[in-house]
Amino acid sequence: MAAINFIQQVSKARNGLGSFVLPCKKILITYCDFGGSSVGMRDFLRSRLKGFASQYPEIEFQVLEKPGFHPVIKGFYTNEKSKQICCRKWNADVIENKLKLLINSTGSKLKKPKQNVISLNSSVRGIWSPFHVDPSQRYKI
Amino acid sequence: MLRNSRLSCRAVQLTCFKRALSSSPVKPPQLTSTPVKRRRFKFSYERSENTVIDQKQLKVPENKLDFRKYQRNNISLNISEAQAKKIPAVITLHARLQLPSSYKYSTIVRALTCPKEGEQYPDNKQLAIFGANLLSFYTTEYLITKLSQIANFYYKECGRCLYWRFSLADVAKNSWGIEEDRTSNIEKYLAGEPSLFRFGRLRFDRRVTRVEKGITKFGYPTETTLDDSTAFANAVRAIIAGVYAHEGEEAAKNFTHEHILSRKIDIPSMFDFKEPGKLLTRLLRVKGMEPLTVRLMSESGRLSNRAVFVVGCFSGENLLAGGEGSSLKEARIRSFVNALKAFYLYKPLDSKMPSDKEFNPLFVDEGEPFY
Repeated sequence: MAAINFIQQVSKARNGLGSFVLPCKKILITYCDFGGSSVGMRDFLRSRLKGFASQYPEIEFQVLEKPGFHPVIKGFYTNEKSKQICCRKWNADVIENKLKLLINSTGSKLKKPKQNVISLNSSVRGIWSPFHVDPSQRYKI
Repeated sequence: MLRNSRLSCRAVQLTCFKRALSSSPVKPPQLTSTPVKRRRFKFSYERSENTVIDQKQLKVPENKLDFRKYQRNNISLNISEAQAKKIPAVITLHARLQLPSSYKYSTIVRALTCPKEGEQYPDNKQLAIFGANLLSFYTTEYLITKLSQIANFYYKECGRCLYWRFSLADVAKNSWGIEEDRTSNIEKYLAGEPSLFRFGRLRFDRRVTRVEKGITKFGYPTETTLDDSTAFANAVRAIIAGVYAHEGEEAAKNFTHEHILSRKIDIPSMFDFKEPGKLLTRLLRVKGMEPLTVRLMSESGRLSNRAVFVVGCFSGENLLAGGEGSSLKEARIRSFVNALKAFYLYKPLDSKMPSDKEFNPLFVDEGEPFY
C-alpha cells in the first residue's frame, strides 16, 4: 500500500519574527561594602541603579552583598546559560556599559560565524546546476 | 537500376527518420470510481492531559448555565493581585511577553500552578484545556488556508509540530524563560527567599525526579503527576487562555500567531513517501491526467563513479518535476517525490483565514480516496 509516513518535528524558535522576547531574564549584582575595588559599583548602586533598572521591566535585578569579594555582574538567560563579568575598580560609567552588554547578548557562546548570513531557511534561488543550462551553452570537457 | 532505386529508397527512409519522444503506450483509462467509504476527520485532536473532572470536584451553582460560577472544591486559598505584584518572576514574565495591562498578575500565578495533591491554590487545569483548544483552532485554520492542497489527515500532523507538548515546552523554557520550582523548602529558607516567590515558578508533581547525580527515580503515575514537557506546555496553554479571558478573541489570536505560529517548521522534509511512483500514478489517474512518463534530460559521466543523471517526469507534454541522482533509479524516484511535493505543498497567495475580516472562501482539497 502506497502511503505517506510523517516525520514529527519540534518547531524551532525564531525570536523577533513574530514577537521579540528579551533573552536576558535576570541580572545579579554583587558588591563589597568596604572594599576598594567596589567603589565604582557602590556609586552605581547608590546613584544609578534605580533609573537603570526601571528601563528594563523584563529583567529581574538582584543585588547581593558579598563582603571581601570583587564586584561581579552576572546575567541569566532564557537558554539556561549565564554570563558574568568582574567589575573590579571600574567606575559607574563602565559598569553601566557592561550591564548593557549583558542585556544585549543572547547568552549563547561567542562564536565566529563562517557565513555572512545565518538562516534556518534554505536558499530561495537554489543551487546552480550545470545540467539545466541550455545544451549549446554547456561546458564541454 | 534496381540497386539504385533500392538505395534511393533507403536514403529517403533515412531522411524521414525522426526520433519520437517516448511516451507511455497506455492511454488514460476512463475514470470509474467505486464509491469509497468516506472517512470523517476531526480538525481538533489537541487536548491537554488529565482533561476529565469529576462532578464531585466541582461546586455547581444553582443556575447550571452560569459557567463563571463553577468552582473546584479543593480551592480555598488565593493569591491576590497585590501579592502577585510582589513576585519579581511574575512581573518580568508579564513584561517579557508584552502582555496588556489588563492581564492580571494573579492569572500568571495561576497559569504556573499545576494541579498537585493537596493543592489549595487555584490551578491551571481548566485554563490549559481551554488554551489547548484555542491553540488547535488557530493552528488548523492557519494551516488549512496556508496549505490548501494537503489531505485532511495531514493537517493534524503538521499542526501537532506547532502545538504538541514538546514544541510548547520549548516555548516556555527556552523562549519565555519560565523556570520550574526545583528547590526544597529548606533550601529556600536557607537562601532567605520569601515564600511568596515560589509562585513565580512552575510548580507541578514530577513523575521523574533526579534524586542525586546519576540516580533518577521514576515514580508511579498518579492523577496529578506530569511529565516536564506536559507541565511546561500546560503553562503556555494557560497563559494563552488568560489572554483570551482578559483581552478577548482578537488578542488571543494575535498572541498565538506571534509566539507559536511564527516558529519554524520545515514541512517539505516531514513527508516520507513510500513507493512514490505508485502514489503519483494514482494521483494522475484520479485527476484525469495523462499517465506518467520519465525521460532522461541530461547526464554526465555515466561510466565514471561520479555519474549524475537529471531526469524529468512528464504527464503527456507537461513537465511535473525534475530529479537528479547518481543512478537512473535514484533520479527517477527523486523526480517522483519532487512532483508529489509540488502538488501537495501548493500555497495559495494571500490566503485569508476564516477569522480574518476580509475572508474569501477558498478551495480546500479533501484528499484522495486511495490512501
